[in-house]
Amino acid sequence: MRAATNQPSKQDLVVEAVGLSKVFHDFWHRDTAVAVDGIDFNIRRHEIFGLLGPNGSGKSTTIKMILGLLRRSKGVLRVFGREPDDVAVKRRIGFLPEESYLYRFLNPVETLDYYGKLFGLARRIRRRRSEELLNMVGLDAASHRTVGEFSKGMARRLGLAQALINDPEFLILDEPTSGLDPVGTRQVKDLLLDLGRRGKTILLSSHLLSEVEDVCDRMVILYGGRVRAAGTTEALLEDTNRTVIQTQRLKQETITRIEQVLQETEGVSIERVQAPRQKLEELFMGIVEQARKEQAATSGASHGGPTAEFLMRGDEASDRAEGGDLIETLASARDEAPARAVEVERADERRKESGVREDVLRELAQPSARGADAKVPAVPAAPAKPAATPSAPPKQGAGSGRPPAPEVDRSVIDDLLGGGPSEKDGGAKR
Amino acid sequence: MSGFGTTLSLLLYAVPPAALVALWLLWLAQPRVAAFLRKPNRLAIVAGVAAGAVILTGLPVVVTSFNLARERSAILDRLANASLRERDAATVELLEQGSVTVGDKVFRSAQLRQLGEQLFDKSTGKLAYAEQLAELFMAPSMPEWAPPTIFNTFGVVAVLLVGAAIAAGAVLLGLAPLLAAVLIAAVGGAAVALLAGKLGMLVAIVGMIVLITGYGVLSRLFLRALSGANPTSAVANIVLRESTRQWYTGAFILVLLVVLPLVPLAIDAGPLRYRIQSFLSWSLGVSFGLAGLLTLVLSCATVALEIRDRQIWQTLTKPIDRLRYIVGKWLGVVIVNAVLLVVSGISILLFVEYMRTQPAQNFMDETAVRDEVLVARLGAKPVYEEPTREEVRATVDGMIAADPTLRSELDQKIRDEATVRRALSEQVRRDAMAMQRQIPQGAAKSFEFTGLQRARELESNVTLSFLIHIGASDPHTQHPVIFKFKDGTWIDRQYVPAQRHREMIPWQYVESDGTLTIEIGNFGVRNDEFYPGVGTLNWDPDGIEVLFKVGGFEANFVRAIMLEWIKLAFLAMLGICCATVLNFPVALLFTATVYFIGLLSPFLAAAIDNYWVDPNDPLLVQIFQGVVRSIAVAAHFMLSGYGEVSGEALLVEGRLVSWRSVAKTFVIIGVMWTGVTAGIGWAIFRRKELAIYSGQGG
Repeated sequence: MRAATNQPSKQDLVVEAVGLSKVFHDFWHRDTAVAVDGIDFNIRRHEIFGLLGPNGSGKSTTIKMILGLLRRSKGVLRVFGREPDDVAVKRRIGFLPEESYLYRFLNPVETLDYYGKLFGLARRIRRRRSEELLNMVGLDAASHRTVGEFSKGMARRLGLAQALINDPEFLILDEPTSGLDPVGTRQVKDLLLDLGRRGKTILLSSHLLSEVEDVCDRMVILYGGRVRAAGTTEALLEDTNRTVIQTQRLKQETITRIEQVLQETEGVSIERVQAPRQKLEELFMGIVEQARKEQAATSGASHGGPTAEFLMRGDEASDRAEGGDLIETLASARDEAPARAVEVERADERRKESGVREDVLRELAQPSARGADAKVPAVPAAPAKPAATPSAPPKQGAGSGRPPAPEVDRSVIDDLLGGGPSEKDGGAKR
Repeated sequence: MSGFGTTLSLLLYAVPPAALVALWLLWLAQPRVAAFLRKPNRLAIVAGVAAGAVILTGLPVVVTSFNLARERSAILDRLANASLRERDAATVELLEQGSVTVGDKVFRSAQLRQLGEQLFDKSTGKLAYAEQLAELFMAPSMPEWAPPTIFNTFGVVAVLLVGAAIAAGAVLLGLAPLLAAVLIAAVGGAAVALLAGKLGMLVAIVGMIVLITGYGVLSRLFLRALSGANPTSAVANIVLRESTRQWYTGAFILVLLVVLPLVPLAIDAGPLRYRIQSFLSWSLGVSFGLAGLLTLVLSCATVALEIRDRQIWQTLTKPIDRLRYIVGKWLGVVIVNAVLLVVSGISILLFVEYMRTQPAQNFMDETAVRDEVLVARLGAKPVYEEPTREEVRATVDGMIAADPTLRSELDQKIRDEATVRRALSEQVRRDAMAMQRQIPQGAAKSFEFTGLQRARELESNVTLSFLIHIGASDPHTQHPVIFKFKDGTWIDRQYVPAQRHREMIPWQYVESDGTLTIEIGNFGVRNDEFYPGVGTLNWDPDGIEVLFKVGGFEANFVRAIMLEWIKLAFLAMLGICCATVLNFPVALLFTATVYFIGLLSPFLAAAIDNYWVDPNDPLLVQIFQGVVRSIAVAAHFMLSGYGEVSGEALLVEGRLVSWRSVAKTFVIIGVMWTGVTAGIGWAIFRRKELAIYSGQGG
């Protein structure tokens, strides 16, 4: 198990678990199942934390203990520094369970209104947030149908909306994309990233490893109620034994030459050369986007709108601001968007990483290692994660949050590979 | 009626309901119409146009009916005293011209002139067919643009119009389109019943309209009141919605709102007092019974099913503590009960007031309705003399001295003297009191009833209620009894043993200090001679009672409803707290058991008195009998307070439901029982783990 770096202070912790255990008993108080067995973890402010594990590993049990639905058998568990069943703590939490347990006889408007009332939100605020959330999750057209008539995906969307009605500081999502189509899944992932950039703390539990990998900063992997691995996504997933270089399409001779260089300098050979494939998600999103442009009819949930304004801007600002004040508030809110410490850390690491790779490439580009006619095409900085899809529009006021990779000294590489500068810009690609 | 008139009436009376039904069908068929109507302004316009159409077409009927009824009444007044023997002006005009003059209007019929004296009763000389004559005279005045039946029931038509206006207003308040559709259908059905002349069914349908609309309006008002940003009221709001939108509770409400207006149709003809009492008994029984069943189901389901289906996770992970959750659920059920009881109570009260205006069979029937049924009465029992302690002790001493065996056992300390003396003293007291409730053959005894000042103040007649036994009470025979008053007047009556009888006594017999003295004689009068009864006349402690008026029926009715509401509030808390720890069927079974034991506690008390451990039975049977009796005694001890005060029984008998009993019920059942139940339920619920181990789920 890899320990997390950078010990945070107590104020930075949203959830702190030390030796946390949960044992279920039968009627005669005999132990029947050890669901969680002495786990230690903490969730820091402003991070997206992943809770992974196979079925029966203790993920949902841990979440339920955090929410006060179960009492711990042993250990320490603090949420915002208090006991989990403290009512004041729940005011700051939004929860989406693994299934959407909603009232079947209510429609979405009534559902959100009910949960808004539980948070003590005024009617005006409830109404506005409900409208924004229903538009965001694509249920505005079905707002007067009862939940009992909904498909699983539509219910799930509504469940997500109710988890956000109070603009929570800490969002707990148990299988958030369960039942959603790829469009909805993409939207949820984008939403999580948006919320993360805005400084929300998110606990994400999922079986879908790709969605966890794409959004989480740190994660814990459980098995049999115990922690098997913990750490940042980068640290857990990085394979330090491999190097991946992605270029424009190369001729076979060029590839052969590169292999020769590698054998001479590093004593290794190329393990695999292949044309990268478009992800199925990208293909799917492209088709849907095209259909939407053609305004093809659909009776299901609509695509959904942008992230609700109150989630991005803060409800107090939108309540107070009027006219020119509103613009000023927006500008100051954008400037004040909290930088997630983990993102800065990750950007630093990426810069370091690309710097290391540049040194390797420069070494490869020594005159003794290259042919006279070698052309070196542009080499982009190696991204740590797969590139974002072109359909994801930039979010207003959010900014990318990630600093651009530095420019590469392409002349050296160009000489190595015998190619001129490519037609496309050789800047960092995402 | 001419063909043109028929066509016109069809147009006038079929078009508005047809338009409303068409609108309903459009709403069903076209989601866009429904979406269109959801906008408040548009809905207001449509509802206003619909109501306006109904009112515009109905108003001429109401006005015309009113005028025709006035004329008919004037004709009947004119003919009321027509007599062949006295040859009054109306009779002469009728015989000679076949007409009757009312004011400056002359109503004429050629056929009547030909009939002449055949219109009069030969023996009395009075006009025999006044009603029919009035109809004949009115026939030319009837408008041709509508069926005549309508004009005979203008009051009902007026109510129909008011109902339609209320329905339109209810739609404006945002009632569900389905409810509006039900109302529209009911209005249409009422119109059909009216045209078919089924007045009883018409009244019932109008009653349904009023009840459904009233329930919808009141529910909507409470929903608005519970729309604040408060977790407790939010939970109560959900319960209110659940009660109508879930089939397992909506069915009870619908049955109540539909069945209640049908109760008057089931009342047999007979004296008015019995018809009113039957109506009260049936309607209150239906209302309270269904409200009780609804409370059982709703209170258990609203929590147990939420725990089972896990909606409670979504609620209790929000900032609401478990006590407020319980209180919110309870508040919701209590409000549902309040709405039901208010709506049904108002409809029952209105119908009773309507029945009050109906003609009684005779003077006694009319007096009984006024003084015994639609009234709030207190009961005064005869004043019996308790034997003094010295008298009891002396009697017990004499009994011991007269029994050598008992004396010997006491001397030898075989039996404990204190216990024996206590038992004998109780027996002596019982016997002494029982002796006062006996009148030997041919004898008489005088009894005083005190505290009747109110009857004298209100100048309200009192009722002597008596249930007498005599020897081997044969219910097929009658026996004589005489009641004699202080001024020497007396009345003789025949009574059937073991059946309760009532005798009205003029208030003038009550003295200024509120005392009523009645001498009861165990003999009768035949051919101006007295003859003794066949045995010793006796009665139970509550066998003879004088009932006297202390208040009005309406306030009494309201207090009875309040009593029932308080009892249902306890039942609601019991159901909710049981459901927090038990699943739905078990919680419902337990709560229903408590409910029915409470309801039947008076019968349970009588059953316990007659259920003993029989020493002659085998030991195991004795043990079983002992356990059963213990459980019954414990249940009766705990729950007797629930069934002892029954607003329904008191109302039917015209007895007072006092503010004191309401306050006592509120404190004991409403506060103590409900509070203790809530406390126990919360103490258990706050420790309950709501999320089970799923294993497969994580």
